[in-house]
Amino acid sequence: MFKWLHPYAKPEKAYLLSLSVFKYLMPLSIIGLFAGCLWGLMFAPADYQQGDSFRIIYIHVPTAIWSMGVYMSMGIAGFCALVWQIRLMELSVIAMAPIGAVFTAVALFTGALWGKPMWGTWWVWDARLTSELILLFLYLGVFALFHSFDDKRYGAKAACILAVIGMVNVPIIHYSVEWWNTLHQGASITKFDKPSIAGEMLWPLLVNIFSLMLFFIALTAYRFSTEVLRNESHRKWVLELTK
Amino acid sequence: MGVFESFSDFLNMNGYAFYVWMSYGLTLLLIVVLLIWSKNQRKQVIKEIKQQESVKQARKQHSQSEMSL
Repeated sequence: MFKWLHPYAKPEKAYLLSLSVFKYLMPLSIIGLFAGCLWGLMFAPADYQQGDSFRIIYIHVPTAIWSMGVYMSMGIAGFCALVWQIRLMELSVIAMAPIGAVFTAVALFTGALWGKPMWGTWWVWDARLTSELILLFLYLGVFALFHSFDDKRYGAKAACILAVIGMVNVPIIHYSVEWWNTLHQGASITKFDKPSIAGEMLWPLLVNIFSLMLFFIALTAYRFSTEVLRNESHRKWVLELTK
Repeated sequence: MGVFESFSDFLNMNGYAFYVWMSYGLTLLLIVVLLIWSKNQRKQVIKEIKQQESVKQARKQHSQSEMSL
């Protein structure tokens, strides 16, 4: 396997691979998200308790799940960058951070917009909401640290360390609804049990969760390829490419 | 219109229009901003590479013309 993987450690190969990943996955993810949202908005039956306000679920849950998923992959990439000193891994960390920040912000404000009609409040300082807010600050911190040193290597290293340490927050977010009393409901899908949501409502949700993953991969690949260009700006292959 | 009786019913979301459409609208806005920003970053990087290359070329020509003097 390593023999097969090895060429992709070369920046030029990694650049070309990530661009083709972007080219194929981005349209696919956009179609998927569009279909999932349309399905959820128009064809899923209204919730018997929450009426049509529950349709916020089709963006709230996918972005909330991937706000954690993106952080885990960013943390693992940061760990690899620190342990094996791989520059490309550092670049992937900075490619992922803004995407994760946007997912987290979306999960937070859609949660507020859902909370107002259902709970009667935009925001409470309970465990789930607070730990998710901390996740947003972690993303912003990783991004800020990366750009706050004159020496780029220092910035990348500091950002990777924060990304790794911040991973401790992810299980706290996930289990916060079990460990503490909270206004937020427990897990409906991500548990070792039958999902506690009807099939007609669940399918569009699964479509959106999967499509958002594709969107994350595609956009990460695109942003990563930009970082590779920036990092390799003096190399011959980059000059030939930008001519 | 799917489970709704009419298009205006769909827009109305049985009274939850503000919350539902605000969620979808703001999400779309943020995603579009993220995409445009990523695209601009790339343009900027390519512009800088081209600039740096043209400066290099100009220096080269300059030093060559000085040598010939």
